[in-house]
Amino acid sequence: MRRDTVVGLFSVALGALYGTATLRIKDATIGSPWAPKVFPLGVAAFLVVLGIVALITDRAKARGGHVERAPAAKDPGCAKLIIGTLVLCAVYGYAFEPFGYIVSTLCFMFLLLTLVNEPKRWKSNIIITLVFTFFLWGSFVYVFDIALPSFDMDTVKELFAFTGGGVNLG
Amino acid sequence: MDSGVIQNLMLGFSVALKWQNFCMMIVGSALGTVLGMLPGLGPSTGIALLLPLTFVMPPEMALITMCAVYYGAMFGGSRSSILLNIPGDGAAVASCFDGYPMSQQGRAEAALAISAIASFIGGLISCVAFVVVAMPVARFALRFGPPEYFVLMVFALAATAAISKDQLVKGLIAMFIGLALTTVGIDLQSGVQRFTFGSAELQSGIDFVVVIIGVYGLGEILYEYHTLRAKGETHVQHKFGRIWITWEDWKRCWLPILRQTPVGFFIGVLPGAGGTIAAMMSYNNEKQLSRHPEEFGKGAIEGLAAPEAANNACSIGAMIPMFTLGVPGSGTTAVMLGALMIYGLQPGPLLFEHNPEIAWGVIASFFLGNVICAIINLPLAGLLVRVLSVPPRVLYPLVVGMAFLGVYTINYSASEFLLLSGLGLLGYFMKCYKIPTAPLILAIVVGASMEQSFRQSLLLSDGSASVFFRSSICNVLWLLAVLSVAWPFISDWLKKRKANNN
Repeated sequence: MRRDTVVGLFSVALGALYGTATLRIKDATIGSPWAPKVFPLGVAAFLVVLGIVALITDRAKARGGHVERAPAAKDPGCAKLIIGTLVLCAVYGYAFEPFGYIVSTLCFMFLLLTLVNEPKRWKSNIIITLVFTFFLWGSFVYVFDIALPSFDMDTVKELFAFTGGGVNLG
Repeated sequence: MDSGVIQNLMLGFSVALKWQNFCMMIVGSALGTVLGMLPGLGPSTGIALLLPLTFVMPPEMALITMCAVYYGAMFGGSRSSILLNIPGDGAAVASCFDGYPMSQQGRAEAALAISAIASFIGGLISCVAFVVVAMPVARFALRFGPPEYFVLMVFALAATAAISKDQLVKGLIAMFIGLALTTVGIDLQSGVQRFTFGSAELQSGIDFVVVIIGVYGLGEILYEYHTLRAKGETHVQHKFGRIWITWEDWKRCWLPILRQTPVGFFIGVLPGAGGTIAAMMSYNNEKQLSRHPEEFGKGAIEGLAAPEAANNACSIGAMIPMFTLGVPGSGTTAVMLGALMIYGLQPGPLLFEHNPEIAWGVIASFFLGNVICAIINLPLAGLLVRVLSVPPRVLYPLVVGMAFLGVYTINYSASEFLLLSGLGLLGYFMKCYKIPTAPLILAIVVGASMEQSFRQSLLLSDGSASVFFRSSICNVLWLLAVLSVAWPFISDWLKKRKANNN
């Protein structure tokens, strides 16, 4: 599918979803009941209209023989890197507060570096992970006076109880 | 320039020269230079990543640091253009054309020196222009009511979205996505929850810093993964002779620097047109004016000096709408405008009345920052360019780690990490499908106040839309908004007509 067609469809779908969600917003009890909906409805309408314009102009371009420039060559392993990074980020988000900054960041950075900088460079990955984690910890705590979360056994227990893991951490 | 301005400027220098502020200016300039050098990390990403760290600073120090990062990045952007033929950011593209050939001819020292000198002169002249222009514009902006502000924001957003004919529709789509994101959370006027889907975290809305770090920072890294392995190791020259220029070089450059600085400054003031356009336009202007146009692209030193002066002048010019009108003209100034709001400051004309020490302290820091950047970029160039040897496969994970820590410091909560990943994916999608990100960032920063102005205006007029056409300011701004959307088509038509006539 042509790039602009995807953009047009995305815009129409987003506008329609956003518009539907706008109509479900509760009426305001003060002033005009529709006041909280007017601006979002305008945004939704523009998204749909612009999406349609993108689809029509792209169709016209395609009919006129316009050939889309091929996307730049991708590294074959880039999908693995993108998905891997996003998964690690999500796990880091869940682990950051219960496991604390140091444990979660050491694991996150090492795994991310292993993914991006390749496992064979494990020595440099370990060094970079340690320097990054402790340098930033020192900077945040001592220079910026920002407290970072520390390991909290109770929260970890709660997390494992919540996820149904039967691990005995006590 | 009246004596009030001089007095205010003196007040500004007294603030900027406090040792803590001065130290942060040096740190910010050095960090900005390094961030500007690294391909993929421009000033917007750099400021967005460092923004949460400035929350612990007093507002004037935080703004001085961020401004230092900004013009440091403008200085640094050309380093990788000259040495590697890879621009550090969009504004440094034109510096590749003659900077890299100069470096290939063994004139890297002269190229590094003239880029720093031109940036310094361009920046300094623009600082003076800023001081002259800022107060009259701020005074004029006091006439603005909610309808004028709403239309001004429409103009700023339209001008940014409509930067080229091919990108017009996609730019507008990006802008409306940004506006949609600003409507999440409890509506300030009615107390009604909008698009929170029962989540307590979303009730206070989506923090614009998360959007900026997600779309600019994480999205950029995910996109850069496409070519990560192909980039391999970078071998960069880091031993130099004396980084300076000859008298002959100076004779060729002084006039191009002086005549392209106003061009860059003016383009900076216009919403939407950023450093890239300023640099490209000044390069083309200089090529047309030059006695040796055939040397351009082959190492003509004035071909490097002109865009460097223009892009630095542009970065100072871009601060005018932000400080005086409270409306950002580019992605980077949008980030800085958001920062002003976080510190509880009201950007716009009242900033000069209510917080003169902050407004003028930051303006004075422009002057000092330029001097610091010139010092950093001339004798220390050989040291700083070593950063270019850091391979992206090491750099990118570090940036991702920094992004997450930055987001944590906004609310001291990791609840937004998932949102950050989602916004990173949105940024990646936008880059893959060539949707410009600057309109989204601008919209996310001004969206909430734009909606408030819109609704206040309707309250003033009992719901009549005629309020948006009540004054000549509104009408002129509407005209400018329409013109900025139509301009890519008009300029295309003019070019075709000229070609047909020829």
